[in-house]
Amino acid sequence: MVLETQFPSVNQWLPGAALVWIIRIGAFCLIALTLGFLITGVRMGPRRALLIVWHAIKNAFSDLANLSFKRIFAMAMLSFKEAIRRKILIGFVVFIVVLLFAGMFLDPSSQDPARLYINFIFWVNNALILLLALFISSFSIPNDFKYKTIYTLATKPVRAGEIVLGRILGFTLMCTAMLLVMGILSYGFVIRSVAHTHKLTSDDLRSVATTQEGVQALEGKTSTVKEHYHSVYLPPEFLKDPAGKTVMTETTNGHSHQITFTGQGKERQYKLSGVKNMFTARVPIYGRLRFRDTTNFDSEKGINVGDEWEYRSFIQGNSPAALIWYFQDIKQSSFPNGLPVEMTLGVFRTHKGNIERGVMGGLAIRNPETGLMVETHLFESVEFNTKRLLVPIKIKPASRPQVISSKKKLPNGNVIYDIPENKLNQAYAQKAEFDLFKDLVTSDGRVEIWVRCLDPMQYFGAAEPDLYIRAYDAPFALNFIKGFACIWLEMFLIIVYGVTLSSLLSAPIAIFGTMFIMITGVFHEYVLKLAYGLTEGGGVLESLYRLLRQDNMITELPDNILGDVISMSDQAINYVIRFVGYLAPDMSLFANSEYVASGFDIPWNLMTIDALTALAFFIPLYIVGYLCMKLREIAA
Amino acid sequence: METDVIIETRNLTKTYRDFWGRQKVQALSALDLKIYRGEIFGLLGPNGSGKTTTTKLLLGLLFPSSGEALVFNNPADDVAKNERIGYLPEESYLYKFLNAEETLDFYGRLFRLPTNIRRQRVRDLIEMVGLGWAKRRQLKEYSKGMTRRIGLAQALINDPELIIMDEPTTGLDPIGCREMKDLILELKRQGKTILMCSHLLADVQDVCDRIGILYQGELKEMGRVSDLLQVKDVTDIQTTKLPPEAEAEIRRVVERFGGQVKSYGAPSSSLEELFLKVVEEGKSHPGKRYQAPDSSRPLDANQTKEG
Repeated sequence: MVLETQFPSVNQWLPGAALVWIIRIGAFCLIALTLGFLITGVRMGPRRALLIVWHAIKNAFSDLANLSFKRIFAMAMLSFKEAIRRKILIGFVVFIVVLLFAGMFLDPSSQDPARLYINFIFWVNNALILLLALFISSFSIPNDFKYKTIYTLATKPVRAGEIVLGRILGFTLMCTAMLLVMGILSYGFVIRSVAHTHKLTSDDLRSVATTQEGVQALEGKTSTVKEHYHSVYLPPEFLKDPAGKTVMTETTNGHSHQITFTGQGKERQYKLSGVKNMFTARVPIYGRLRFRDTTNFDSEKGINVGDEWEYRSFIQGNSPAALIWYFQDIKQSSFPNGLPVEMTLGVFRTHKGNIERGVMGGLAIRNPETGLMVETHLFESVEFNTKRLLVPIKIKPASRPQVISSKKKLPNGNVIYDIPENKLNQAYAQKAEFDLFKDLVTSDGRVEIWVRCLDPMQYFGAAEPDLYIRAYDAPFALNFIKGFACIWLEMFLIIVYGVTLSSLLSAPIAIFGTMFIMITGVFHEYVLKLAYGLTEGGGVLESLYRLLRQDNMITELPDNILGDVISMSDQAINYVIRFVGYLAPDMSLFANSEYVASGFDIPWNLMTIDALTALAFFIPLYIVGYLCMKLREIAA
Repeated sequence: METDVIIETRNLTKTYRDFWGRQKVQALSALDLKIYRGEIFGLLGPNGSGKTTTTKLLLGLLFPSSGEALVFNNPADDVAKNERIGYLPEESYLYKFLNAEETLDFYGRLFRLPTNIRRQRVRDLIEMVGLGWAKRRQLKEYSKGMTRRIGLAQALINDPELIIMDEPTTGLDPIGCREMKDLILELKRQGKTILMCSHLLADVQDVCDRIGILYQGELKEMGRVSDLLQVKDVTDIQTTKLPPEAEAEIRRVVERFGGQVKSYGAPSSSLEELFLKVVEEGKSHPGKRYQAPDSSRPLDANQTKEG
């Protein structure tokens, strides 16, 4: 399993994001002031409305500067108590009931129970806490107006900004406490649900070989628990003296067990540990992918084998074509035992071949400074099966080493080389054994990993994240917390939107508005594509026109005034969609449970981007909430 | 503006409009008003005369359509003025899920009162409004009178200089009304300024120094209560009880001076005074009950006085 989305580093992301943020702040404030002016203008006439808006802007800075934490905290505690006394904790009961029923319906014998349980638990927590956040945040301020408690509140020295901030803080504290408890329960539920061990007795094992010293190698299978068993191979050196040796069962359903034993001969008693390697948080190092075509030239893309989805590009088998990943900062101190490489390749067969086995491939390491390339592994690959290979420190080549350069054809027809061909030194290849870090990784940590398809008429395909070096494994519990932190950020954004919208709108409209923005956020990429006219089938009216006429998407619009009107209207609508699109956060940034379920560590880089995004939305929304409250005639 | 003017309105006008901006009602029209430090000012008027609109404009809960409202010489929408104001709305708009202690503590926190002072004031106010026995009960369990009392307590949590009360005696029983009026007079003695709106004329007459009468959004009358209520062409004399033969003599004296006796007899007390007297007696003599005198027993239809 690989993750198909990659995020830029914070440094790359920040300048562009900051610019968008400034535009957003301006847009948000403009909306609030315009709405305030229109609403007040209707009630009091444009001159008075202009005066009130100007007064609000003038007072905004002093109000914001005079925010009192004591008052904000008092408002927060009020919201906290309100949520509790309005029986919000009933959410816990729902949660416990869901967990109890889930135990009955989730299948622990599935091929990947960790993924199943983690996905389920994240989905439940997400749905429950987000719904809760949506409702409590959207009802608070409208209820203050409905029951007129705002009269008493607004005649105290509490500023509009403190009311909004206090509400946000209170509901965030409340939901945080709930999420914390639900997170702990969820973690326990996942771990306990998959916990098991198997029995292994001498009767389950049979001898498959005997050493000269008379020690046997045994193989067999464990007892069946949770509808699976594990194959076992016990090497003679382990059976002779288990001290310092670790033997695991075969991996089944995404986990294995460690085997230990006491006694010897017929008295031997085997013991299997609990599940191992089921909950991981791999930290991958990704490289930059390029392709080498059949004519030995590098290119950005490989061959399209007919997929509509152009995410993966392919290379032809039994040719010089290769998938090349370029890595940086690979240091021996980080990989004292060699390079652990994991890859999940797309395999496209033009003929069945030997369907019993996978398509053959070769993995080679190339030094980008000297051009020395050494093939370290030959492997079989089937479609989207994850292969784990360890490139050892001392390498005995699997085929004849080469010294080659990488070349690229420029658009003007010139060819550039990374190492000029006349500077290639074939003497580098004249060794029987190579040292990974001395011979194949440059002193500054650069290295290339080449993957070729060896079977003729078959193809390997890959995208950049499909091969990575597994740097280390982070603690799973920490990754689980990070997953919940992402839910927390979503929850926080919903609370901020709920409170802000409810400072102007009634509760049902605020709920609807928040949901609309969140759904726009979930389809953020598509909405922006639509807004910029990048979707197939044209804009909203153009699509509607085709739907009504039952035309297909490539039919041209009529070349008359109707066509012109539709095109122009779509352009105007696209501006509105673009505006709405920028009001909504990209919620896909926060949907990171897939990392946890797939056993990947959620990168701190992504966590930072998420946190900054949430903060970036909070600030303008808070200003909008403040202005809405300030411009609102409380007793109207 | 004079330093002892606490509230001033200049040409204060409020027009309510509908969604489309059309004028719905002119709630207040060009109100010019000054309320001075230490006085109790009563705003009188029938329902819909603009009393509550005036208080809301003074509190910044409504924006004026024209004119201006100044409180402590600051615009009414300035939040800082609220530090010195206590407001008792027409109905106590409080959070029903809080209990009395939590309610006062919450509003005390909004004034950033130091913890020890806040706690002491919460205790004192609960004691003052007589809700010590129910201080841990959520307000949703309170009767209307109890809610008014805790509403009054929250209005005083910051020891305000100016107290604005909208229909302060609404929902209170006669004892509560009397206590409220006593409290208002006590607050005046402490030097506080009070603006109260009411349509209960007796309440206003009992406590107010000055009154303004609003009708259809316009100020129709304003002045000192004693001046406005004085009947200039009638002389009122009250003495201890006189024998019946004194009546003829008194009438003669009055006629000699060109006057005319309009009524002569024992004055009757108000129902409120009677009620308070009965309750006081009830407190001092718990076992005492109403005994119907024989003469007041209704006669049976078939029964004659002779039997």
